[in-house]
Amino acid sequence: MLAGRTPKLIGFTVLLGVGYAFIFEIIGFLFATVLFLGTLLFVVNGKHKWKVNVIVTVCFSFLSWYAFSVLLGVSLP
Amino acid sequence: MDMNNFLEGLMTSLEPMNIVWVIVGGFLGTIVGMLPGLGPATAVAVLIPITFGMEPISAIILMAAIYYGAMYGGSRSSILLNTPGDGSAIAATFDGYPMAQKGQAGEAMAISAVASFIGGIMAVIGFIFLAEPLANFALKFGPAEYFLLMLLTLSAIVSLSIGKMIKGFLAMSLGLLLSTVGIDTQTGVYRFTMGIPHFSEGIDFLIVIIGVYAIGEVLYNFLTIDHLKKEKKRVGKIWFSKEQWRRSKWPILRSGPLGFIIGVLPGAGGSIASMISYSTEKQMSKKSDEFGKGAVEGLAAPESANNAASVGAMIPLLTMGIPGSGTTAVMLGALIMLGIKPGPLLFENDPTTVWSLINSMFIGNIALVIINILLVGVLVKILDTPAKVLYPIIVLLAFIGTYTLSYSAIDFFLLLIFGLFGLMLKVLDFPIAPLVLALIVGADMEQNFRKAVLSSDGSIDIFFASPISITLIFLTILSISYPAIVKFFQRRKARKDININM
Repeated sequence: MLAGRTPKLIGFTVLLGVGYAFIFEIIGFLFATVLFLGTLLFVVNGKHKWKVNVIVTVCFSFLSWYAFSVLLGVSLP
Repeated sequence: MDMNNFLEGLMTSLEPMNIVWVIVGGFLGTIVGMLPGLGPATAVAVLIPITFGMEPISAIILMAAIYYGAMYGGSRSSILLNTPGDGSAIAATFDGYPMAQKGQAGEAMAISAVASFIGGIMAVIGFIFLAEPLANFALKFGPAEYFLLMLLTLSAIVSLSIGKMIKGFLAMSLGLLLSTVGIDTQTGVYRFTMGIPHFSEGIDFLIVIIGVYAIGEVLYNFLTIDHLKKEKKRVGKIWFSKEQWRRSKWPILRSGPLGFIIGVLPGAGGSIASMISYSTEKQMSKKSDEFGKGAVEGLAAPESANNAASVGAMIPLLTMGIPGSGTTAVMLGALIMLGIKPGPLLFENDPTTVWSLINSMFIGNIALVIINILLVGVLVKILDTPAKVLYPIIVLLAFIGTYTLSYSAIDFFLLLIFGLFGLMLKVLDFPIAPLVLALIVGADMEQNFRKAVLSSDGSIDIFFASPISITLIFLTILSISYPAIVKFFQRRKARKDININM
């Protein structure tokens, strides 16, 4: 069951999550999220689809930042 | 039923903003529910943070719309990809997927949307008539009765984990254990905090829920991420023929009330409702050999039943504050976060909220059947969006959601731990619902037990003091021994068959 790149994917996701936790409050939500989501997409979705990855990362990070901190008034670091 | 409250709720739910929230929630729920491998519990868990800062009434309407939107969406991936999002969508694969293989994907999706709609509406009507009497009845419950009711719910969900009762029991025990972490409110004793100050207020069950249902499920889906079938299904016309309707209408109308009643019962939910309705229809049908090969009624019946059950399951949740299934346990978590305390008093103190919610379910079901039929092209396109892009987004949403709970990135570690924990449970084939349910009712259950024993000066006779208690104890014993009883009768029947053959 744990064949192919699955263990690697799971390991990467968890490690990235740990990294995200460390940098989240230091470099701020927007940058941390761009790094986190971007890396995760590159690992999961593959390098050759870099255009999609970059577009999704930038759009989604900015959208979620806008939605939470501007529209919903959540104070994000 | 109080007509004034009903009308006031109707007016509130018809406010333009609330209609917008119903549509937004239904749409978002449909999308998450549609993702292969993700179901209503994940949809609600991941989307909790978007209710942040909203008025409680709008928020509860939105959460409910996400919940039954995901029920609608779940059957899309069952029909098109043969990958149900959760237990309640499994029955839709039996005949829905064969229909899609025969080139009837459009018909299958249309009939499943209409069946879900009819089942949902029937259940909402049932809700209107049953909820208030049940809430009034629940006012008679003291701490002892509440404790026993929770005991019954937990034992029912364990014994309904068919084929894996022991694993279900272990999962439930783990949930109860986790619920004891933190300062004990009565004695001030620190329990299982392991010296970590962060644990002194207990483990926020929303983090466990998001971890298990969002991170855990995504990690679990990584196991199959490179084997996802890329099938282009021709979606023909999005409506069904008269003949298909003729075959489905009675199964739909029968399965609605059936699903509703099963949904109200503790421990049972959409999965059981849809399975029972499927097997009932199969037994009743003259064309039972067509079941499993694309019989339209074999898709329509469980779809009606599981939607009715999802509405029915809201009744014990709202009237007694006791969720009957994993998904409603997640809903309870969302409600508590919104500051709404479900229980019999909710109907007295805050009738507008309750009746707005009930009325919004009418509107939501109408909106969803329209979304699912008119926008079916858009929905199928979304299903084409590679899961490899959507899973990372779900992971990110889980992190953001966790942050909005306590404004601390320390909880990210907990989130990851419970994500891995959820993955482990899934890989080892443990049912997750008993764990989540036990975790949520655990603290309340303990408090009620202690209150009951305190009021009787330490004697446990109080648990046998009222007819309600004795009935609940009887039902608990029945639910635990139910699998054994079924086995006994099956064995006797098998023996009889052998005798006849000889």
